[in-house]
Amino acid sequence: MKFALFVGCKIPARVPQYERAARSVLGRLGVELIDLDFDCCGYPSRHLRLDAYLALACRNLAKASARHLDVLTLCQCCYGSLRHALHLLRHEPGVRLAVAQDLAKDDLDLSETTNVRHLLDILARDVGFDRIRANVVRDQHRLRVAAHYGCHALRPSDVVDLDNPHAPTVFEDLIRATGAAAIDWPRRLDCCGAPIAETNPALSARLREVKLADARAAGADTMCTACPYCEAQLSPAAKDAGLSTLLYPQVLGLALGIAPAKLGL
Amino acid sequence: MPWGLSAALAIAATGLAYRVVIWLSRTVDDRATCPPASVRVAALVTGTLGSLFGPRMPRMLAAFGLDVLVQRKLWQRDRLRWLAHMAIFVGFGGLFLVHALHGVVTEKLWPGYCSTVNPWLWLRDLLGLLAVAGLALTEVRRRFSRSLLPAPKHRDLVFVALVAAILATGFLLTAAKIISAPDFERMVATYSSLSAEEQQPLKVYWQTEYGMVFPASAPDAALLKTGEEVHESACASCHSRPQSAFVSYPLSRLLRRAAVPLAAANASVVLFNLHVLLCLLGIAYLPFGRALHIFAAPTSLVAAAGAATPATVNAVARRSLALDACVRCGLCDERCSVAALWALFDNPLVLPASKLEGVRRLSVEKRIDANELATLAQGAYACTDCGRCTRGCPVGLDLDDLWTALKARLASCGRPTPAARVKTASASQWADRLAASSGTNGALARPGRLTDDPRIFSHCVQCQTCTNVCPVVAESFGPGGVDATPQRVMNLLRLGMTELALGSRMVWNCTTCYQCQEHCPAGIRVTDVLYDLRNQAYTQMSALAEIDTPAKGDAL
Repeated sequence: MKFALFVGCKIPARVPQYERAARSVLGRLGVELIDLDFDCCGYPSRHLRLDAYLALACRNLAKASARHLDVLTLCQCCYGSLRHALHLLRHEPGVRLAVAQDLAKDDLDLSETTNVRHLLDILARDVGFDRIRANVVRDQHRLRVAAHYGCHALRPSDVVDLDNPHAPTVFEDLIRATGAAAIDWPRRLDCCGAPIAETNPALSARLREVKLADARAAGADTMCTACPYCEAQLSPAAKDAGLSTLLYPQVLGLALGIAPAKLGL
Repeated sequence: MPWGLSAALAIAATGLAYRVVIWLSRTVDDRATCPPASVRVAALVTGTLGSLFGPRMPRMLAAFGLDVLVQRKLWQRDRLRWLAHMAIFVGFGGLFLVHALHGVVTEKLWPGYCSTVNPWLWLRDLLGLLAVAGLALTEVRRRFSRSLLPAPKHRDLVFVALVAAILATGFLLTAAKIISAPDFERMVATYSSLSAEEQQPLKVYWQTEYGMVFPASAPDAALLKTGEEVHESACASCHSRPQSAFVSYPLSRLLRRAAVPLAAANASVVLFNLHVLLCLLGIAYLPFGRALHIFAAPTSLVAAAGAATPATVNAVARRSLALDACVRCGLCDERCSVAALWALFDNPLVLPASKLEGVRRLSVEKRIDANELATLAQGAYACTDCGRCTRGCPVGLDLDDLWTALKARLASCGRPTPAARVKTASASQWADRLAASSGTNGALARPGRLTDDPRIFSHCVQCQTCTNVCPVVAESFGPGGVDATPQRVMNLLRLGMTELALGSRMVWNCTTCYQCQEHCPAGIRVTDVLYDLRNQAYTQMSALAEIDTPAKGDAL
């Protein structure tokens, strides 16, 4: 199991503990990570210009395919963005042509395709629940965790490939594999509000509050995220809602007996 | 030239004081919201004292050692440039300390110091050669760089030329002295009481062994032997063999044929005066151009280590300092996450080093027109805040913070974020405004565009499923709410009224959660269409020449 790790922009700048925890956990579970000189996934530019978004996204895809590696993303927005670019390349010949011309200027080409996978997907399908369970050394059955899926890992389901978009179970299964309890809560698939945090802070905060209140009412003590945008959006307000937030590799790392410092805790 | 030194020092001191005043008085921030200069100065004094005598002192010392002297960040990023920088820094800095300040530094530390005796003789050439090699390496790297990024502008040729000229005249001066008969005569007259008969064998000896050139004097074994004895008693204690000056001596061999005319023209005196004059010019030039980095960069690095977190009012002064401390090395450009966009947008202001220049023009020189303001805004809003420019900056600039301040400043100049700009008018007002500047719409056809193709949205049956699952619709109420639901946006497209959708709150408040698209029973790519409308609106609104809300009293 060898992947090109895509950390993106947000994680090193705002949520560095996610990268630390993910590296520790994946190292323990035998997943090898290769660092390439990736740049922005294109997600922020997608709001402005499609060509700008594609130029950025496809450069990363070309760099990974030149090394014959699949991409492992930690951020769900990077995941959705890179997957969307792959989707357009495969289904829109006009896009593929325009991108190929642009990349040729930098000696990059799209002759090979690479796959883009999210951390949760790789843990569930490649590492596998059995291997995770076999490595758990710390009992944390008292921990009541609300899995926060995040939009761009689930939808649009013809572009991304984590689980059933309407009734996913993979995140809860991964939480249970660590020994913690995964609670059911009605708003688990809703948006955290992060994408409009800067452009419409009031609306963004309302989206966050209803989610946090819902998770608390359902009996969670921890909100578990697997995306730096969700984490940065939810964690500042979680305390007031009576919750803590943890990134999934932190929940898993604690169960595997990894020192909290190596998980950014 | 004591008066020359005083003048040069006075210019340097005045210039530096002026710079410090500028760092404290000008601001990147909007004057309306920025604390007054008096508050900033007071905060800087207390902040500096607090850092110097507080718990952050060790960090600042470490920053001075590792980041300023050893250039740790440059080492991590680019070994070749580190080598060039260190060669110039050690070479030129070493010459400054050992050679230029010999009366103040070297003679105090080594009382037997004499510039014509080894190790000082060869050390001077070694340091000079290091500096020359560093300069050459910089030039070669620049010439053969394969980077596709535009080199940062404003290369300071004056500074490079001054350093190079000081080094060149230094070598030439030493070479000219090695062959200079007038200098020999002057030395003999000043430091010895040798008779003319004693001088003749000494001249022969110096001509044979020390490379001196005298007009017509024939070597002779007996004279040479006598000359050596005279040399041992009168000269040897103060003069190592000039061959140890391993650059200047070969240079003197090249000049040897011209020794007589050079002596007639008093070349060594002329070169000495030129060398000193250039050094004085160098001192006077310190507060200007790239030379300023000798002060600004260490100040910035140490201030970065001593800065309090969270940022205080002193961040205002650091932003101002950043505009001078940037050395335009362009390492940030190489690290920029969205660097690829500069070519696509044909806009270098996407790149950090050029963007910093734009900030300077916006906030300091105030020579920026609406066009450049638009390109600066494009650069500012393409930034993803990844922080790689800041983490890699060898002079410790908090560029993230500078970009945040730039965005606030742009907003006050009538160029807020695209989303904020949309909110300055209603959807129908935007439709009118964009219609008035028509002609842009048809020119934007491009691959991947959805709103041109009726097959994308015409089969919408207006069932409202998209609206029912939309979290933005669910949480929007009151005057700030949405003006159209996703279903109504689809209907506007079906009716051919795309312009009315471009400035719609629904389009710009969409969180892109894809619930609508996932749930649409007709399989319409609702979210992708909303994205597309945003793209179209952004392009059309960017093309509008007018600025929506010009800030009052701003000197634009």
